[in-house]
Amino acid sequence: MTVPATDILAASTRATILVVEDNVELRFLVSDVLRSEGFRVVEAATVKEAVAFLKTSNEVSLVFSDIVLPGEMDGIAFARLLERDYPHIKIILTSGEVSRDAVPANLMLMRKPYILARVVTEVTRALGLEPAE
Amino acid sequence: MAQQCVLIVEPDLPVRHPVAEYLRKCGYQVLEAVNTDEARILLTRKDDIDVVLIGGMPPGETDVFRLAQWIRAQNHRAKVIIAGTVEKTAETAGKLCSESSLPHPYHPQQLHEEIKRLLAAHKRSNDEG
Repeated sequence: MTVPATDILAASTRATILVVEDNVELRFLVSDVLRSEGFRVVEAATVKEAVAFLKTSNEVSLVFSDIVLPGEMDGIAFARLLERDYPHIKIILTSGEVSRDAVPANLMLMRKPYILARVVTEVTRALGLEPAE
Repeated sequence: MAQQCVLIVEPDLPVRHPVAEYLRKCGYQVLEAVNTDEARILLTRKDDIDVVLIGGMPPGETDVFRLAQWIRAQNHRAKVIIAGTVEKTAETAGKLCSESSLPHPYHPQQLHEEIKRLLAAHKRSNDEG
């Protein structure tokens, strides 16, 4: 039996993070720092792309998503979908424009601009993992 | 030797992600762009991109060729590879892996099979709404 390639890759990493961000530079920077900490990262530019990925994979442990995104669904609507259909997935939302009041109180919000090291800290904490050596 | 850098430009996540992961396992630093606009931004910001691998684009898409021309006009050092199909994208990733310092994590054909599996699953999920 052939082992799916993504399973081979997932086996060697700490956890899989789905990063949803339409700013390509920011998406790269966040993904790069998380990879350097041993996480496997899936990059999506829209909620539509992210949802499509989730339907084909059960390996995502945490979604790190911008709130203001192109397309029909924003990050808050995406978070509600995740809570309903994927309750095991941890969620961290991020925005420079949306106020804390507009985000459901149970959801974590990281304000932009953020420090990349803090992204690692919050992701690690949300997953209940020990910091990387 | 410095880590080589590949920028993959591919609109479909079920193709882009496994190819990017495969190349990372081969030792490359990999940047991902979902379209040519994102690719231009990354190429403008990063001057150490060695290879731009352009995967499948919608039929009749002229942006791919504009991007290739733009890279040449910028005198950017990156080598541009236009794969055109999923199979060729996987094959190209395999060739790039052969040129790297690390062994293939698995056979390029296995990468192609995995992409086909993901695309089929993606299509099924779209059909189901």
